[in-house]
Amino acid sequence: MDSTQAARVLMGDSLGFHIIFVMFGLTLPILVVWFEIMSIRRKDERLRRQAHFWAKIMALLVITGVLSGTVIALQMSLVWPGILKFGGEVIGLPFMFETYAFLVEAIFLGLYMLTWNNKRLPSWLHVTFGLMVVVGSTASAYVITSVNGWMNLPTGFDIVGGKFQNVDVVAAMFSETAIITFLHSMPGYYVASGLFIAGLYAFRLLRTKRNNLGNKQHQLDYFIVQKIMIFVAIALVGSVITADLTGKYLAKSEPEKLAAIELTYQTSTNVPLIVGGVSDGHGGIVGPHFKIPNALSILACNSPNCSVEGLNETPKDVQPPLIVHTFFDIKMTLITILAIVIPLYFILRKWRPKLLQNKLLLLGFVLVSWFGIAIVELGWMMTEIGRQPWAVRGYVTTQEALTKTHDITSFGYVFPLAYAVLFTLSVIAIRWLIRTEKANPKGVL
Amino acid sequence: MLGVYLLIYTPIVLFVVAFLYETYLSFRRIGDKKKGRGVYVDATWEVTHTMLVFGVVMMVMLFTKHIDRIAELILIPTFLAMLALFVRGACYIALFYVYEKRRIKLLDWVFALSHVAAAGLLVTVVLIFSSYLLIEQPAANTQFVPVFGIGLAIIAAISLIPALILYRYRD
Repeated sequence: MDSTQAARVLMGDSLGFHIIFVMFGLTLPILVVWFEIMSIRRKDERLRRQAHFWAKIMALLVITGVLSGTVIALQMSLVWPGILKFGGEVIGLPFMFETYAFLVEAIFLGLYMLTWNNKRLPSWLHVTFGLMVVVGSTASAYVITSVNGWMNLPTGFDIVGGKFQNVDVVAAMFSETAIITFLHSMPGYYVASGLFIAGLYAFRLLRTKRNNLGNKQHQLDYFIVQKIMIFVAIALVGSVITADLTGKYLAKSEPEKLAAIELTYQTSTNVPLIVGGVSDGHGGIVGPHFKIPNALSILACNSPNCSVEGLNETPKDVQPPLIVHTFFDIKMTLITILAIVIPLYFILRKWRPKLLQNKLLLLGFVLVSWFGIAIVELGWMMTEIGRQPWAVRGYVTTQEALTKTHDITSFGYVFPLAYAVLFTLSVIAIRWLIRTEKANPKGVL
Repeated sequence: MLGVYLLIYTPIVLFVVAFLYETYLSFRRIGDKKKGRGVYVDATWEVTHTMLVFGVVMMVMLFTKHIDRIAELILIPTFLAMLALFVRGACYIALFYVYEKRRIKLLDWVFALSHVAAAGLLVTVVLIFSSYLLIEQPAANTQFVPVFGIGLAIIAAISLIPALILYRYRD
């Protein structure tokens, strides 16, 4: 592994690892606060304890997420200094604002966790602390996404005589790219984490002994799955709507990425959507695949006669790697399965509720519950690999952005190992939290 | 430039104070016979890290034109400090979640020493950076300072008000 590969491995591993904690870090505060509000309105102590239990897991995940987040912040600056050297004066502010958001999240998370059992604290105030965690984490996600958006489509400046002029940091921070990426990624995180949590409860239901069927705990588990699935379904609708916006945005503003994702080699109208297959490296497609006539043109601009830019418009040396097409195919397959499973859950819930206790169906649900996480990972891989060879599209290549003074190869090996250890420990710790909760006579599990 | 220095050094000083306190606690718990969490803190974890991130982000973002030189100077000690923080994080999870019911002295020692290693390396980073500022006197991106300063005051107020309310409702 050379230094560039090591740096890529390091960045890829860090982001791939961190994004899992981001998903839960953004979703759990919403679910915990929602359950807490429900418990207050229904005067239901069991729901409140359930929310408290999830809050403990949220705090544990924060420990790991903060560590990986800190490493990423440092990697962005020190391993890839070329990015900030080029655009620091335009995009530096969101990075700085991220620390504000992080600070708000950290302080209110501390307050929220410390005051769970404070009898003197009004419940509305405790809920407010929780809502501020949501505000902090969401704002943090926005500003970091805006930096990523800027790397994909740099805006908010003119270059005159080799120097930045007319710098507009607000335009850079609130670019169309940033807003669309944020609006598309957030529902994706909600679907991924919500579905995974619902899957954990489905697993519990699957293991429920026959004589415990229908007891209070069993009913509560079903209630929780139902609520989380409503949350997931709303998020899925949001995700589908914003996926359409993202497709249209890509066709307009990052056409070479869309061309790589869809293996569109030539600019033309009536472009089909290609499902399956891989590039043969010479402008053709090999392997099993089929085409949906006109679909890409319709997706790009609502008309079959719409012209979609092909890879022929981009010089060969700056074309994105075509592996993104495979990522997209896997992602779409998983999304299609979810688009069937989630409505099916509600149909069964409404008309055949007894079928939801069927072990085979529950097992199927448990199996698909991690698909959301895979979809988010694949989505970010498409975004990041689809921008290559650029770090800042059109201005700084990944090679140019890399530090020239240090060989970080050894870190490329060490950090992934550290992530693996932390991840394993986090899972063991969550299992410990669950066991402790089960052992507690007043516990919710 | 005073604003620039304040933005960099205030969070770093706050981080050092909080981190030294956590280091002290990590050593104190070695001799502590109490099982479980004992005397260590937990809720301050993220706040302490936030101060570190805050300081480092300021360090880098206020000098983006010179970032390649800064990266050259501080990359290795910073990454080693990150590894020490990883060890600390792993020990924290192991001590307070995985082996919560048992006391493993070796783990206690690794936990405490990871604090010392992280603190030592981070202080090295700050010293290298400070000497760079003194010797090479790089120009800062001062255009961000006014916006950021106003924002900081707002965030401080947002964070302080509930803390005061909480003090009123203390158990």
